[in-house]
Amino acid sequence: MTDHGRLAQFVDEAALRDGVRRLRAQGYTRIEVFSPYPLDDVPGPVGRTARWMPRIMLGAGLLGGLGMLAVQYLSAAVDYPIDVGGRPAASWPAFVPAAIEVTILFAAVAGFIAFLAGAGLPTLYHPVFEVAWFEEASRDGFLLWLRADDPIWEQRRGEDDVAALQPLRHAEILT
Amino acid sequence: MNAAHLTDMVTGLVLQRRPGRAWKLGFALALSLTGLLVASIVVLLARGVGIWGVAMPVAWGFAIANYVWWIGIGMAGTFISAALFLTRQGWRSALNRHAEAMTVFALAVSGLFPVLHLGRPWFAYWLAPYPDRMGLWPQWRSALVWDFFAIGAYVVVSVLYFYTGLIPDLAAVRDRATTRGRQVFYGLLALGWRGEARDWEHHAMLTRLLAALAVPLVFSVHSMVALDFSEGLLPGWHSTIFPPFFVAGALFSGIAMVVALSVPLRRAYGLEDILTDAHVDRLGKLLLAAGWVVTYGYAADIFTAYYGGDRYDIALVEHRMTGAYAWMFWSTIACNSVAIQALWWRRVRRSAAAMLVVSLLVLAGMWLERFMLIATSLYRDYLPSSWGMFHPTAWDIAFLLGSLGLFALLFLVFVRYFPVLSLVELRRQAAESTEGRP
Repeated sequence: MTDHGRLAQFVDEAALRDGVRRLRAQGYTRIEVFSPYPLDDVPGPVGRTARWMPRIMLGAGLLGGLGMLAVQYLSAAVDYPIDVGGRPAASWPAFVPAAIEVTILFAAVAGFIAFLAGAGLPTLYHPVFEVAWFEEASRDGFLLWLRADDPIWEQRRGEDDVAALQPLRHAEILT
Repeated sequence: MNAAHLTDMVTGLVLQRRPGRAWKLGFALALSLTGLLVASIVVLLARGVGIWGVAMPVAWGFAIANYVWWIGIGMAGTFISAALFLTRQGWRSALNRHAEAMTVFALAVSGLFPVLHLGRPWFAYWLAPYPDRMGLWPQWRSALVWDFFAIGAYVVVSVLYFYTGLIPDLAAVRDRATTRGRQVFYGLLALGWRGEARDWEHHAMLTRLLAALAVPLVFSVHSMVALDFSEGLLPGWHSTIFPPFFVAGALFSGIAMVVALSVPLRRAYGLEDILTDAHVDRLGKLLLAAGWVVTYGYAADIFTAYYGGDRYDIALVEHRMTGAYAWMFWSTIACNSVAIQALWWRRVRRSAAAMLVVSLLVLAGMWLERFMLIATSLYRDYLPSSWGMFHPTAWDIAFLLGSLGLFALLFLVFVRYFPVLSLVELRRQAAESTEGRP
């Protein structure tokens, strides 16, 4: 049997925040929190930012837009120029609509892929699912998971520290 | 209502509620109409677009009107969910899920028509730029090619936006499912969502960014649809007001559809506490505003024709108002410009029945408008020798009814098997309102 750490449920957002703060003050670093809706300012590294997502989307959007302009230029002006009433082969204004749409398309798809990668989805199984009341996180539960792979888990006796926070309930995650 | 109640109620609608008689009847009707659509498509593929009433000079008929009407309906879902999200209109959270679903389904129905209208739908992939043996490329100056990219991007982005919002709620259904089949089904769809702080952060960021992309996208998509017309040199089509006019019309018909879906939905599921009269009231105000923009478009069209002095433009306006399709023009005005004036009264906006009637009138009016715009510009050509009428066939009617059936079928399946309210925001609102209390 593997011990993955201790899962605890708190009565509300404020209690969860307080719990995270106290564990961090004791030197723990590997803490994860689960909530039914996004929490704004969870203290510490649990709230890592997703700042790189807009950059990925910008990059993909530019790639899509410029790529689409290139495809249109190469096909209409280089590979197979057709004279339509004497209009220039490279009709830039007419190339804009498709390029805009492909910009948005590429940015959105890249954003979705970045979201899946960032959130580690799909992961259909996870050890926290072993705790029956984990499903409270998708209802109104504010949960904290102190991971057993925390460097000071053994030495500090993590399960006792979680119990000391006086959560609603707590359990060991065993697989 | 607190977060736990909300979650139990919304997941209960999916997991515990047995389908009522109204749902079963609606489903049977929608299924048979969808069957009619499938049969009609088979006949169309076998015999060609000649089964429709399209012929010279009216070569665009019901199919194009259906396409423009459905894609317009789709637009309001994205608007309600993305534009109102970006402007922080909290009240949208009771509406955005089924409005987004409406968008996805309306797009699915809409996309059928231009493909079927091609004549040889199996060559639809020729619209995509790929190196083929003939060395041919799409004609980039054509609005029809722009349309292909616009609709393609819109379908993908609106599906992603809808699904991203659904993931946490699917996880809530998964966590409450009791049978193995449902656990697996919702478990696969939820992708293993756990609601971890980091996941929420990515989720919130993606939602914001997709909303920011979706707003310009919907405006561009319906502008492209309008450019299909205004790129043509026909009087009544060749006009710079078309893109904004079409966007306003799209918003108008789409908000009407949101009302027409919200009112029965909240009654069937007893959601009056969440989808309140105040929501319908606000939709009524939006409907009235969009209706006035559309009415301005009608007025501008007539004014520009006389002010510009072009004899063909003036003739078109007079044909519209007094010609063979005059009944259609005046019905359009009656539904889209006159009927909505009832919405000035708060009592009308607060009455579910009245709102339903007005929204159905607007939906009918917008379909008539789309058809009227197409037919009146085509049936009177520059040369009187090429004048002619459009006569719809039974197949035209079958495709129109079938498209309504397919949309209804998709929506009925959605309300039965998917969470109809967006729990994430409602939970947060519930938590904030309890915290605010003394």
